[in-house]
Amino acid sequence: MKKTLLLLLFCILSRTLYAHAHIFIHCKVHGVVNERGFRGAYVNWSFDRIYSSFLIREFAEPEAGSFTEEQEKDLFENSFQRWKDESYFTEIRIDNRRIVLPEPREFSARITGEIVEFTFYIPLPVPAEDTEKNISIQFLDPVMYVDFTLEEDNISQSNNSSDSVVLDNTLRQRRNIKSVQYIFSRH
Amino acid sequence: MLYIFVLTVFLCFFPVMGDNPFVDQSTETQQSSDAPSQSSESEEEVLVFAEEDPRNTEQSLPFWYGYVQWQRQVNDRLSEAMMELRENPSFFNIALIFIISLVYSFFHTAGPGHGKAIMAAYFLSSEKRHSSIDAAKAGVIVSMTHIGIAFLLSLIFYMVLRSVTAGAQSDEMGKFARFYGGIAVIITGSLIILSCIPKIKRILQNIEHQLPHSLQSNGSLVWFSILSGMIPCPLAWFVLIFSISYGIYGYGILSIAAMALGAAMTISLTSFVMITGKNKAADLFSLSRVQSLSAIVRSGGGILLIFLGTGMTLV
Repeated sequence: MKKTLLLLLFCILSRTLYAHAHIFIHCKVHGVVNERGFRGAYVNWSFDRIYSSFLIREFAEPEAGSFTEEQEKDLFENSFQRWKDESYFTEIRIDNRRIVLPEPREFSARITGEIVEFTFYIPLPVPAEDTEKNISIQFLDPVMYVDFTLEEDNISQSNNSSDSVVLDNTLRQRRNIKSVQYIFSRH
Repeated sequence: MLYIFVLTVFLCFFPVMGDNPFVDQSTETQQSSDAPSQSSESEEEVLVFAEEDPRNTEQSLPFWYGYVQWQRQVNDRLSEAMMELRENPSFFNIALIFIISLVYSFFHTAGPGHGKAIMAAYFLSSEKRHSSIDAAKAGVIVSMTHIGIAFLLSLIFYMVLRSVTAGAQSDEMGKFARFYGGIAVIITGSLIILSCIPKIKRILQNIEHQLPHSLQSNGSLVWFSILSGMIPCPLAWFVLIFSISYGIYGYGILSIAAMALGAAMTISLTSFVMITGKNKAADLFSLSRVQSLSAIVRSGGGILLIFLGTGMTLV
């Protein structure tokens, strides 16, 4: 019995090469539709206080309280875009088929109190049809160096279709991963 | 007609920017010419579906993911406690920082990626009979190396160089340490396996001979422990930067000292479990059987080291 337990413990210890979270990000997602269908999603990342201080130290004047235009550009190139190879930890599926992540646009960064926030827009032009279409957005670092939190209160939407498109959203959790689901169809 | 034309142009070129709920349009800084361009209906993105294995379409996080979420709360609590300390420097707040940092590091180190598996493989593949002192020694050396390097980096980059790209450089140094550390681990694992080959041949030929001199000496534990911990600890690095930002560098050092202690406890504990298990197994079997099995077990340890070293170079 003891040998079995020791062997099991050893197997658990040597099982995986996952990293472990050092950066914690709180996510907000805002989906947008118009009369043509789904247009895209705005994403907001709020970093934890400790990593925020790191970003402020690296890219801003510590007492300034905000990023200048030049600093924002520096952040975009030397912080945000360094995660480009990981698709910015964002996986998007349309009717359960994964798409290659479009290049995020309209990047901006700001300091709110001691927290740094990144905001960017992901263009997702999907025409509305009579049948329901599902767009799923999730944030995941497979090696868990970065941990993402997504809560139902932080999912929102804008419907600019004048009622020609019906849009709904929900939060789904499966295998410990949360994803926001936007479901839309032509009215 | 002119009104309709102007309205159409307006709707085509400004449909999305006004919808950003996360940016206050009245205070938003003007985007530079190199920043991402505004989206427009006339420059519509073409979505491309990714090729993927239909048998493996869904990712998952491990069952112990809840403990990662708990760390998020502790991370927040640590930063709050350090800011409280800045406002109200008292013995209670200092003790609170120490305890939070120690507990955080103890459980943080229990997660993957802190050299526990490498040390476990080392003790498994060792021919020597190790003691609990060796377990403690391994824990202290690994944690001191892991966190000490982050501390030294903070001294170099922020006290001497004052580099604005220190973050990127420390990231590169982490990748450098991980890659070459991984190479060293692979080489060590390979040498262990090579040393076991003659022994395994003798076992297969059913020949009893005196065991060859082990590749491992007293100094190898120290060398291996340093190897396991040579990747600078990002957590310690971030905490030090945080403390510098808020003018409490001394308390930052206290925090990482507590983290080093917590990490040492965890690594020592796992090393102790491995050593105890191996010693018990050796006591249970006869000497000849131990000699037969040791080559196989050591080879297994060597293979595990190669696997772990490969992971270090690739991650």
